[in-house]
Amino acid sequence: MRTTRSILHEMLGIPPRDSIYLRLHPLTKISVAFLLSIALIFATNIATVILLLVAVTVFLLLAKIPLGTLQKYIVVIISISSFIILAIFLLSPSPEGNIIYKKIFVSVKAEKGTWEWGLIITDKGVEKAIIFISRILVMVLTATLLLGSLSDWEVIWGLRSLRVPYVVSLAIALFFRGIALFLKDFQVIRESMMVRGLDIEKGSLFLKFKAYIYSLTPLIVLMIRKSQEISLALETRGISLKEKTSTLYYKMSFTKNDFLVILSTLAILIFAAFIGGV
Amino acid sequence: MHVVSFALATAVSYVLGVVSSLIFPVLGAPGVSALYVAAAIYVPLGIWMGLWGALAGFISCFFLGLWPSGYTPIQAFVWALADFIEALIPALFFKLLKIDPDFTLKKPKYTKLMAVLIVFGALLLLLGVGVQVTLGQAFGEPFTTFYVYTVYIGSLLAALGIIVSIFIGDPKTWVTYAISGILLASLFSGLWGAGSLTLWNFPPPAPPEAFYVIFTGWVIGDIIVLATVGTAMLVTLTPLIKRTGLYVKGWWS
Amino acid sequence: MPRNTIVEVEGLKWKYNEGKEVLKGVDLFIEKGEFIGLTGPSGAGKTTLVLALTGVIPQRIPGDLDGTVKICGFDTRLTEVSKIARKVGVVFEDPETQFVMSTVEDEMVLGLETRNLDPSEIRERVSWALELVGLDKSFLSRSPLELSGGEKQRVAIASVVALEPDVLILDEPTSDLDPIGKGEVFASIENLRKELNTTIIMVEHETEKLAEYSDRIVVLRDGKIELEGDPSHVFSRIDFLKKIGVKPPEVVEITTRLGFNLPALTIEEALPEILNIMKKQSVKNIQAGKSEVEYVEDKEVVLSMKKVKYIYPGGIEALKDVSVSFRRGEFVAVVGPNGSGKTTLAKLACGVLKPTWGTVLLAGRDIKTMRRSELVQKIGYVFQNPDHQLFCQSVREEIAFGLRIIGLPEEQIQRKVEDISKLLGINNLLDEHPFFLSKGERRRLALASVIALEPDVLIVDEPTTGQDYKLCNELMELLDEYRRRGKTVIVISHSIPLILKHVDRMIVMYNGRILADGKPRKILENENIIEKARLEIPQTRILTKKIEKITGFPLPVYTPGELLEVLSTSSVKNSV
Repeated sequence: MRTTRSILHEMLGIPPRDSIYLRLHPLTKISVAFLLSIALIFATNIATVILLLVAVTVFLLLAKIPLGTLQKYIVVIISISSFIILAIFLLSPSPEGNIIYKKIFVSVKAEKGTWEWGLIITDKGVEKAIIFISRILVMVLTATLLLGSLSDWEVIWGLRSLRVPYVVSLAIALFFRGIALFLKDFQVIRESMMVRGLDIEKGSLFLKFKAYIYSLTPLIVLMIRKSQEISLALETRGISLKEKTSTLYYKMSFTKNDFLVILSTLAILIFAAFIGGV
Repeated sequence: MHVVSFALATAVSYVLGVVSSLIFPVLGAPGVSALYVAAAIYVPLGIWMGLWGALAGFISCFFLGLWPSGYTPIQAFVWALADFIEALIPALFFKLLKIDPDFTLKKPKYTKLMAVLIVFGALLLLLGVGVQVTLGQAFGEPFTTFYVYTVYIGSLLAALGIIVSIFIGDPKTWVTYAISGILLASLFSGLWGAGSLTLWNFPPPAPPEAFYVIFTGWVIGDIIVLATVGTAMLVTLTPLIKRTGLYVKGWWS
Repeated sequence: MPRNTIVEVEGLKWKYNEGKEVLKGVDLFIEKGEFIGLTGPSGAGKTTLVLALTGVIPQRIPGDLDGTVKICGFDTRLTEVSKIARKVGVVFEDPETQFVMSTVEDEMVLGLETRNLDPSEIRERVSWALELVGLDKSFLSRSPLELSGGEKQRVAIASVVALEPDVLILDEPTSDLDPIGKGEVFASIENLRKELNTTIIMVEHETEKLAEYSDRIVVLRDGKIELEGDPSHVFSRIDFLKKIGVKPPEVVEITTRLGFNLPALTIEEALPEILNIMKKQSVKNIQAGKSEVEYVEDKEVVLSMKKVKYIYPGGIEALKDVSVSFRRGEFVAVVGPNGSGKTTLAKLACGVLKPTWGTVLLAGRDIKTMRRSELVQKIGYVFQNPDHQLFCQSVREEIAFGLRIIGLPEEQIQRKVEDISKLLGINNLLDEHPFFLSKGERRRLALASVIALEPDVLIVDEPTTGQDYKLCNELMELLDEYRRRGKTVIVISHSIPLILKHVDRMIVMYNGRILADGKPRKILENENIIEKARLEIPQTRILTKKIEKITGFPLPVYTPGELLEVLSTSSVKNSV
């Protein structure tokens, strides 16, 4: 199996190390992420969440995806965890469980009773918070597993092997190419704005906003121009929308490892459903 | 060329989504930006390119869900429908009503007034409805009175904003955009987006208690972006899109 | 019509929708196996003609077509573009816009998969095409975007060649390449011709290469063919070509003016006869060489960089311990191969990047202490691709953009807009959207928008890429005029002939360091520097270096005019 840069490698510059997992069929890797996503539905108690956390961590280790990748998610994890905690302890209309701590900030005598708002920490609330936060970890690790082990090349050829219409795989190829192109263009546009006196990352929110608006016009103009040029280049290479590919250049086949991994993931899903209380 | 421009537009939306979520984040909801500037790309794309634009919003949001938000593929898929809806609604209005979008400005100053009225009107409306749904129903007064006043004032302000839009340029274009492209698009995408983050998804990443906060932030943020950046995009780029042949009268071509 | 005519264009006229008539009656007949060099000033209609040959015009681009175009037996109005593409391959100027896939192999396979070919045959064609352009199999797994300019263009050619077209059209394929890259591309095309007898149509401003390789030259101007014929015949019309904006090959100019019966197309052809002339004239001890403009060493330093180092995130050390100063009134060229640090140097100078180490001083002040609005009035930078810095809906608004940011009153802004647009020849386009300007016009607009702020130091990145000779000269003269107002102009360029004509100081960069800094002619005498920095020295100098080697005496002249002056002076001396 060809090894190319994973999507995360492209985005974050963190290269994956060669591993058995990386060499699996792209459809296997997509299936693993998909099955783990379904398993997450059953993560309604701590036991299931722990099972899934362990499972996805094992896959990550098998895939030898550098832990550095997770650094980039730390802010996301911390932010949503904080939000979850605040939501559960501050915004629950009627918190369940035994109260561990209670502090009322606002009390309003209303027509049908007294409305109280404040911080109410209950045991069930704590359990709920732990489950949500752990689920976030599973989510993030699953997304990392998918993007860290899959390259855009594999996405395209994986879909092609399913005989998805040519135009779809071409559009996906263009999408990935476009990301690299526009990230680069956005950087240059940002620099050219600085040279004209605007800084997109400094100043008040209003100034940032203004600078942002100005950067969109050249980005869209570049997009239109590139669309024209790329369309022209494709047409003059004989590639059109209605094209049907007569040949599949890369033939990918499933190996023993693929079946083993898919079956294992299925087993995890079934077990999660069982202990999650289906 | 539409497939190529759709693919590249999706890429641009994605890049902008990533950049705006990092520069203007709503802390707590990954991928939800206080000022989700990417909406200003794919909502106009829906108006210009029909279903291509709606799909661009959907796919870019799907990938945004994967990275940097960290949602699973299924969660990202469900969540991304919010952006599909957001681009689809104005496209529906413009295509079904057979309105040829003409965003030429006759009285540019009214765009700011329209934006301010709609934003504050929507904010009051959302506040009022939120208070009624969460508190008014259970506790009655004074929440119900608060709800009534805020809804009336909010609705009045929003309606005034829509009326003001008539004077900006071509009335059909501007009124349709104000209603469908700013208000309804933000509202329905906010409903689906916040709902898919807190109420319905496989599973929802955030607890149901967070629904209203995320919903309000989402809707207001999108209204601000669409009323300002979206308007600027439509005014600046509609003539260009039409002249280059990218504009699509129907849904696909 | 001869039976092996592969391209037949008769009475071709084309007008874009909402535009002016671009082609005004073109007749062109090309035989199988010919190498046609198509040249002409910017805006002549060369790319439009290319698009007409592929069927894209009129099938994909709306407009009015008159006349007929037949290529490989297909009428381009009636045969689908994709069907024509099976026989006609096109390589455009920017290879990056031609790449869709993430690896070279996938890029080459893209067009082959639709041809009903076996995977093994596809593999064979891919290998063969790669070899033809001089690339080995290790390139297959590489990303096209990571390659050098020459390699990218060769991959683009290989992708098209793998389809085995009968006609290969190349639209300015070498405009963004350094000399080595250009040589690689031309060598590939020559290989292709030898192996497959493919008909080649190449659009180029590089007349020296066209003279060397083409069987026939076609000069297009203002939508019509002005000149057509074998290279010697066409390029010998020196004055006419220069007038319309086409730079004839220097060797052709020299030999034409010397009165050769048949002007030489290459240095090898010209050398024996020129040596003969020199022998007859007993040309010795020539006091040749133009004296270069003296440095403005007494003027104050406006920009200085002290021990500047820059490392990009990712670890690439783009600039290594660079110290350099620029004085008021200097016109400086910064040259060097791609990746040598030229653009990084420019970006550090204008504060877009912050040095990892060292300081950048503008009029004695550290730029770190300056506000952005202050900085833009002191130093301006024009990017290589003008599309990256055009933000507004009209030319007028674009020029006014920066002036509004610094807070000038509206009346003054409008006056400046009128003045600057007139200076740059875009005053008739003030209400047009920048998107619809030609590339040259957009470049001038980008320059106008920066010059409007009247910065003390102006840095222009590759201002002449893809432009014709006349426009290039005009642009350089404009920059020279700006300099004469007491400003400092720094130009990043590959074009040595233009540098020699206009610039008084040259900085050669290589691998993040300054390799040389001084008078251009002096630097260009150093073979090591030329080789290391991959500088393209003018054809005249290559000729005179060969003469020097044979005759043993120095002849440091760089332009046809200088050489002719030397030869005619000697003949005058001898005749006295």
